[in-house]
Formats: sequence, structure tokens, C-alpha cells
Amino acid sequence: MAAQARLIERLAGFTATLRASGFELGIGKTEDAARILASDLARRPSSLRPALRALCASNHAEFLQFDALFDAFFLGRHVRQAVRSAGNPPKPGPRTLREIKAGREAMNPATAEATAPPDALTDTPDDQQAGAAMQGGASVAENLTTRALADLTDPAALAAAEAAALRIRACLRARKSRRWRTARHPGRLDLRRTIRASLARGGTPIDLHYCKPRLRPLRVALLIDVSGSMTLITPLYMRFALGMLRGADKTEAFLMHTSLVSVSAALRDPDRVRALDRLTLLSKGAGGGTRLGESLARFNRHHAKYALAGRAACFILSDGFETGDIALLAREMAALQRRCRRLIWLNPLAAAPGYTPSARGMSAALPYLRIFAPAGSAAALAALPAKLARL
Amino acid sequence: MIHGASGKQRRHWGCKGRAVDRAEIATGFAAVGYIADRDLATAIMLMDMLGRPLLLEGAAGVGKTAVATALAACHGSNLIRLQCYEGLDQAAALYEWNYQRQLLAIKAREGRDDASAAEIEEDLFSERYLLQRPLLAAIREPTKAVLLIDEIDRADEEFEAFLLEILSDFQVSIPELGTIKARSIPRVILTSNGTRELSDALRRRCLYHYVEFPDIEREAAILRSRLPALGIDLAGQVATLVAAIRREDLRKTPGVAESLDWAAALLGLGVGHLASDPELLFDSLICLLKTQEDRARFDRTTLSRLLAQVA
Repeated sequence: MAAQARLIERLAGFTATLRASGFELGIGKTEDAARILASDLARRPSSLRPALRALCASNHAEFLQFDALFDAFFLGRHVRQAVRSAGNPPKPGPRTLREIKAGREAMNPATAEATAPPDALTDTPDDQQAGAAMQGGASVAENLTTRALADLTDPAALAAAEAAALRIRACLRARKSRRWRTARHPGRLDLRRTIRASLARGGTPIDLHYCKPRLRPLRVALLIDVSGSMTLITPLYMRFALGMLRGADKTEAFLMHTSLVSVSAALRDPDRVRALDRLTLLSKGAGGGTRLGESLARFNRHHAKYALAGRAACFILSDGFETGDIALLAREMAALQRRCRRLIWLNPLAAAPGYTPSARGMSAALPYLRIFAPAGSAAALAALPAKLARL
Repeated sequence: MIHGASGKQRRHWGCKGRAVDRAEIATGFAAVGYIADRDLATAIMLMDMLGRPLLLEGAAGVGKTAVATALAACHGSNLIRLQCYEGLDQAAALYEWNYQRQLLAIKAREGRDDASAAEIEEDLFSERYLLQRPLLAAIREPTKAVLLIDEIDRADEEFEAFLLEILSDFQVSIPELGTIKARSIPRVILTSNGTRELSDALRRRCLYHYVEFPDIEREAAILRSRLPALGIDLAGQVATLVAAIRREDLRKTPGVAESLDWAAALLGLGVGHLASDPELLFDSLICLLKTQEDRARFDRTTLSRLLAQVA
């Protein structure tokens, strides 16, 4: 019983940890969590973990994330093992000057804070060092991308990209559908409902019902290549994505590098600093090679179904340098085109004089595109609305 | 027993009730033909303990709806199902007056002034003329029913908000009749296929469980429990092969219902061992692969490659 009392005391800390990781826990759920901790379920971690998970998680991502957080908090010993296996294993023997320098850069609070695991998980002092050791294994290239993404908070240089995105959003206007929805204000009479309502009045149409055309907004999916070759332009594109997502429903953004991650939720975060933190955590693989084909395959399989349902436009922001299988890329572009006819490829290099889309990936993708446009600078992005007017 | 239970009282009631063990739930489910894993059994147990609805998500065909059917069978209670679709409204989900019958009643009484106007009105808006829809029916059940709100992601956002109100109060206001309070709080199961993102408010109120495809052993157990004639070897082979097919890059991954169909088909065709007749096996794959693209991609060589792993 004493053990259970101690567990309940730690509950506040655990809910704080969960909230820091983006879980939404109200008072009601915390109360219920306390009841679970007071019940028989709390006897063993193997029964407590699924119980708290069913209560606290509210979507699939949280469902998957929960076990690690639980183990880290309640079974503290597992933390360091988990951290080590996630990072590169520490190298034996003396380190080279370059590695030490990289390690020092990583310990720089601006970058280390964003990538370190949530501090609520670590309560012994040497855990800090474990985190630093993990950073020591990171390559310089990864650090550069972290810094590039950090520019997202710099307002002056990137505001133009966001403004361009807002203008594009405005020109991708909603269509009137041929279906009708009920309207509150007088307009076209909804005969069916009016007659139905008149039944209750003995057949006299006293209660009038109105309708108006249903609006179908254009869904938008953004696929942003954040591989090594795109490093310099990435901050601009992230800000562009932020503009596309801001205030617009039915828009999804994904990062493509060696795999595909959804960043819509992170970008929509109203707190910009926290948005940056989440983004940095999500872009762990950024700056590496590109496997456009595989990323598109993942998108087609798992995300296209909802992100491109109905009337939709798909923006791909990439330079088209592909390190993977070209045949796969062509196949997935064809599959994407079958689902969504409005395929727009924005290429940062296309504005350069004498540019021809000769990169292997680019030439494979070209036949499937509706619009292929240069987007190497904020000015190029600002010129886009005119080109997209006929979408 | 819990007439007019408010949210708070409901919670306490759950606490006083006999705590059902997870193992008990799992065996109860197995008895009605649903092989549940431990995590799902925990979630079901918490449903009763905390009095919260359970939101189930997962790929199509993993058996989300079957959970509700099994839960109802397990408790011997009624299953009331509300299938959601775009445009579902209060009249189709909660209650509606039977206007035709009311008009008939008025016509039938015309000319006979044996009752006052107020009495007639009272009679017209009485229970006799009320059409109960699933939500109202569920809370008016004398014993705890299982309310399945299927594919909630297909309903409109407005309906979701309305549902939230019902799920927190468990009472319905009908202007002509007054407030109808729950006779029993139903066990509520919501399922979603993720065609639309559900609102945070709804997610906050629910317990959550993500239903994965069953692992090989559990799938074999499911096959055996539904098709007792299936041999233990064949069940294992079917489960292994289906698991391998799910790992392939297919447009539509076969669900548990499909693997049950396929096992039944193999049983009907008299297949005793998967490797015995590859041609027949290939033809019977129509039970699993349901798009032309998948059929084209999954050719004989792929099948023989997978078969080599299995048998």
C-alpha cells in the first residue's frame, strides 16, 4: 500500500511529463489515472502500463509513444539504455579534434535543448552527461541542419515566403459543390425540409427551411524534401509550409528525407518556440540522402487516402536529386497522379539560367506534373499565385 | 438503479461495482469467439471501472466492430448500433415524432369532442408517437446495453459535437415530453477508420485503443475458434501466410474477416496442406486480394516465394 501511495504522489510529475510531450490531459483524466493507481492494476507495471495508456493516449501517435514515456518515468533505469541505443554508440579510445568540436557545438544550449530528451525523464545528474555523450556521436552535417531549421524563428528574412503562401492559399479557393447544406439565413428554400416540417403543422408550410451550396475547400498536401542538397532552402520552405497551414483546414505537410514524417501538427502549434522544438525532433534524419521514391510510396500508402481525398492539390518541393530507385519514383508518381491531378512541383534550382530538368529523379517525375515552377527564393514564391490561378 | 446519475455519480458507481479481472474478460471474450489481447482486455475493463466510452482505431478489417459484438454477447446485453454517415442528423440518431400517426389520430378524432384540446395534445405528444432512434433507445434500455457508434469519422463535425453532449449527460431533452434521463448508462464503443481527424474534445473524453492486426498465434486462435473444423496445422499455415501477405506492398491489406473467409474457402475446397495444390491456392486468393492492382502484383512467383517461407 505504501508503494501505491508513493506512485500516486508521482502522478503529478508523470502527467506533467505527458503534457510536455503533447498529451492533452484534463483534470478528469488525471482523476481517473489516480483511481487506476489506487486499484489492483497498479500492482505490476505490465498491467499498469496498458491501463494508463488506454486512458492517456488519444491518438495512434500517442499510443505508440506512451510505453517509452512510461518506462522512462516509472522504471527510471531503462532511460539511459533507451537513450544510448537511440543515438550512436560511444566510440572507444581518444576522439579526433573534429569530433570534440562537434560535441562542444552540440552542447551549446541553443541546439542541445531542442534535441535533448524531455528533462522530466532524467532525475540523476549523470543523465545530463549521458545526453551530452549521445550528442557527441552526432555528425557535423546534422548540426548544420538543426541550425538551418532554427532560422525559422527569424522573422525578417522569411516573412515574405509566408505572405506568398497566404496569397496562394487565397487563390486555391473553395468550389461550390452541387450538394446543398442547411442555411440559417433566408435564401434558397429547402423544399424537402420545409415540406417535412409542414407535416407537424398539418400540411401548412409555416416553418421555412433554407439551404445554400456546400463549399468544398481544396485539400492541399505539401511534400517537402529536406535532404542534404536542400539544406540552404529548407528554412524558406518550412516558413512557406507554415503559411500554407496557418488558418487552413485540410492541409497536411510532410518532410521527405530518408523517410517520411508528418509535420502538420507541429507546424500548427500556436506556440512558435514549441513548434520549433517539435519540428527539430521530427527532422532527426534531415540533411541526409533523399529517397524520393520510397517517401512517395509511404505517402501513397499511408497518408494520401486522407490528405488527398476528393478535390486536392499536391505540392512537391524538391530539387529532384534521387539516390534511390528511379523506376520506383516513376511508379509512385504515376500512382500519386491517379489520385490527384493537380500535381505541382516547385524546384529551387529551376530559376538558374540554363537549367534543364535533367536530374534523374526530376526527369522521371516530369511527365506526371501539371505545373513545374521555379521556387528558389521568396520572390519566386511570390510569383506563384499567378501560375496557380487556373488550378 | 442509477436513475438520473450525473457524471460524478456515474464515476463512483463504476468504482463500487465488482472489479472484473482482465483475465476474466479475456476468457469471456474467447467464449463468444473473440480472441482479445491483454491490452484490449485492460481497456474494456477500464470502460466499466471509469465509465468512459472506448474509442477504437485501426486499419480496416482488424475487428473493431467485432469488439462491440463480442462485448454485448459477453454481457448478454443488447447491441444497439448507430452507423454514421455524412449528413447523419439528430432525427436519425436520437428521436423523431411519428407525424403520420399523429395526423391520423387527429383525423380519427375529428367531430368527436369527448376530450379537451389540452388532453388531445398531451396524447399526441406522448410516448406512443415517439420514434426512438439508436441513441435514445440505448439510454432507455432497462439494463446496460452496448452502444456501438460505428465509423464516427464519417459523420459531420456538428454531429460529433452533439454526440459529446449526449455522451457526457446521458439525458435527452424533448421539448414536448421533458427531459428523459438514462435508465442505464450504456457501454459505449466508438470506432474510426481515420478518414477524418476527430475533434480533440471527443478524444479527450474517451479511452483509446489502437487495434493492430493480430499476430500469427492469435490469428490462428481466431481461425480455430470461428472454424472449429480447421486443423491446427492448417490454421497455423493460413495465419503465417496471411501475415506474410500483409507485409507485402499491397493497396488493400487483407483483414481478419478476409482471412476467415479464405480459411473457410480452403476448408470447403478440401485443402489439407497449403503446399499441396498451389494452382488451387492461387485461385482461392480472390478471398484475400480485392483490387485488380493487388491481383496483378501478387503473381504466382510471389505466392511460391511466400509459401516456401511457410511450409
